[in-house]
Amino acid sequence: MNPALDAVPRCLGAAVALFGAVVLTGWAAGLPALTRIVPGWNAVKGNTALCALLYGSSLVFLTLKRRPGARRLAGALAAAAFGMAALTVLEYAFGFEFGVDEFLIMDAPPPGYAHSHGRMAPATAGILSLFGPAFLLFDSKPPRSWLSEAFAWAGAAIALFCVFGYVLGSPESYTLGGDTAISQSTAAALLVLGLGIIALRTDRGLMALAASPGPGGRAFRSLVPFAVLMPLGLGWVRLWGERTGHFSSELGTSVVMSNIAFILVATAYIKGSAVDREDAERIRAETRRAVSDYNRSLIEASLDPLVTIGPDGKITDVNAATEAVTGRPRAALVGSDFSDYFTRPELARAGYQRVFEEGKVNDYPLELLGAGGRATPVLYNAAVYKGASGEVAGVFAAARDVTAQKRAEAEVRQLTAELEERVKLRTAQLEAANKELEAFAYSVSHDLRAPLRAVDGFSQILMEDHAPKLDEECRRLLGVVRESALTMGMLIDDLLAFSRMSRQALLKGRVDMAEVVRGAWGPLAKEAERRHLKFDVGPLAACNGDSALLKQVWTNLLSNGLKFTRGRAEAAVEVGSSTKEGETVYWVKDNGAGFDMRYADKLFKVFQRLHRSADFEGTGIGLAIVARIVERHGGRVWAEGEPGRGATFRFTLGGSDA
Amino acid sequence: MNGQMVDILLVEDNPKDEELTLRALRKNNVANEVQVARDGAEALELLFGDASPGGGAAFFPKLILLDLKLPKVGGLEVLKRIRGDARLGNVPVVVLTSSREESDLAESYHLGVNSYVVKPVDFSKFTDAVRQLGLYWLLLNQAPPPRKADG
Repeated sequence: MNPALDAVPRCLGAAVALFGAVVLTGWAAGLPALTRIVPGWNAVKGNTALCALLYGSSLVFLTLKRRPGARRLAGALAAAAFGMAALTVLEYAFGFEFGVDEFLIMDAPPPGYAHSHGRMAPATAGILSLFGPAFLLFDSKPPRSWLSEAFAWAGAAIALFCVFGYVLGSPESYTLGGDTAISQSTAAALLVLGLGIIALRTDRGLMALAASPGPGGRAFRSLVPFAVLMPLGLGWVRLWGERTGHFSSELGTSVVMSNIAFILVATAYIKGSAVDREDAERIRAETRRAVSDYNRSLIEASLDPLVTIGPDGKITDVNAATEAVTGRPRAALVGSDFSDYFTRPELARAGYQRVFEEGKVNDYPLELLGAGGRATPVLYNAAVYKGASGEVAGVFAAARDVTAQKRAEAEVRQLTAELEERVKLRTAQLEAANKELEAFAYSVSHDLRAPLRAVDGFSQILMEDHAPKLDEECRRLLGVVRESALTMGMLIDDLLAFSRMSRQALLKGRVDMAEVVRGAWGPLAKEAERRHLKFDVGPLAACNGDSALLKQVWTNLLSNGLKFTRGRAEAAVEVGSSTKEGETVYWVKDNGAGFDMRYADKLFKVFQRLHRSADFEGTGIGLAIVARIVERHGGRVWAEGEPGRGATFRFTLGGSDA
Repeated sequence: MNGQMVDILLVEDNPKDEELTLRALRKNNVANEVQVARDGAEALELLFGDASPGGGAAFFPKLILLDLKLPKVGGLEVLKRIRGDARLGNVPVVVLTSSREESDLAESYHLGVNSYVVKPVDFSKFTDAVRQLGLYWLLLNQAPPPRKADG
């Protein structure tokens, strides 16, 4: 509650008390001018003045809320005034004469007075009596607290009625309740007193509204003078018109009525649209504030440190994330130089310059300097922002904390380095193993064959030089020795061929399979012709591979076909390819000896044979070489067969064919 | 001194192979004078002469049969020295070895070998190979004239 509001009733009370004191002084000092206040007005009765002094003082004391005795004193003063006024009312009502009227002042009686002429006018007595309960009930607690105000309103209303009577020249108004008129100055003073009592209550009711800063208060303050003055003005116009003979009574009434109606509607219109305007403005302001609050909450909610920097390089705004990462409060950040918060201020300033030159920067790497020297790696995204008139107002910058990313990158780098180290180690091991294998192969090719040659050679020398001494059995045994040596020589040769096939680099290219098959068949054609073997070549899809190695595959498969059809009256070998779902399968089919599918898994292993050497010669390396070459192309090889019904070998070359 | 003229210098460390080779040459009557060196160092000594006092004279063979895998100095090194020498540079050299390794083949031809023969395990074939070599290089082929060396 605004304490300044107490000044209103205090001033009004003081004015009324002063009024009373002036009149009393006039009576006491025999100065009639003072008893009239305004020359030509009726004199104010002594009792009236006394009551005004008491009530006015009471009002002043009531405003001194902090003085403990003031309230009791105010109550006593008001009670005294009320007693005097109430007795006067009783005198009028019942024709008594209590002798209170000239309790202070003896007035010269004018002729024809029915009672002591020092008595106050009946209207005055009534008003003063109504103010009594207004004062005495002032401290009533709800629900009766409205009573005090109601009495004050009633008294003020009558006082206003009398004031209007004077203004409009209507004696019926100011001689209310008898033949004595209330003085003009009394009416005015009592109106002021009534308003003072009403103004005393500042926490609710009229004063609260009048003092309210809201639209209601503003509307009230602007309408009240109008509401008082408008009827007064209209009433005066009407009376003036009637008295001067311009209006008849009916015309006067209709002038007043139509004007009241018009003015009230106009007022309602003006005030209503003003209230609407005000409300619209209020809603706009609220919306603006809500939008602004929303934007601010978004900025504050950002986990990225956000900052705005003025053209002078000073921070103009920050969010909570910036406070957190720098470890400094907003108040310390705003107004300070932005580059102070980086491990390398010159880089930060360079980035800031670039924003001005290019309008923005993306992912500009910097390190934020936090509390205790803790550095946070960040990527800055920044752009200039413009003021209301389009001029560059500063830079808006958002930092993204990339600590986790940096850590992950470092981990990846370390893992990659470890992996590379491991690959290097494995490669070295592999190379060492390869070297060893080559040395082994070299040694095998060189050293193992020499003894075999000796076995064979010396067996033969023995046979040649000592033939006469050797019997048939001796020669047979030497034959076995020689044959075994030769077989072992072949095995070594095959093993070396297989080893070479595994180590040799693949020279891949476009391969015309039909051409390769023709090349492989060439050396075999003579034998096939001699045996009337039927050789059938179907369509062969081209592929991607090493043509020399693929020729070896076909050579091995075709010579197998030739070998195992030996003894067939109508031998036939056919080759072809078929492509299904992007995969090409090549095949060689014969109607030869075939094999038992139970041993199919042994077919492609080194030196594994499914036929006796006596039936079909060979070391068992051919299909192993086929399998190795096909595998090195990323393909696979498999076979189907049945003893006595022939065999079919199929292979693919992985995804690289077509 | 131009050195002693021989038909063949056989560089062979394996005594059994040596015996087989010599038998094949003898049986086919292709060579009269065959000198044997049992490692690379000995071959170089025979070819370039012994620097020590009382050392043997340097040979000048019509044909050199050279094994590759040799003790002390390898066959390829011997070949390199021969081809790098002014006097012996044109002497026909035939590599007679058990090795089929591609690297050996490539390196031998790179160093200027005249022929590369893999010793067959089969003695009949081996005898035949030696016979053909002797016939070709000693009888059929015209040997290069000795280079003017010592002036």
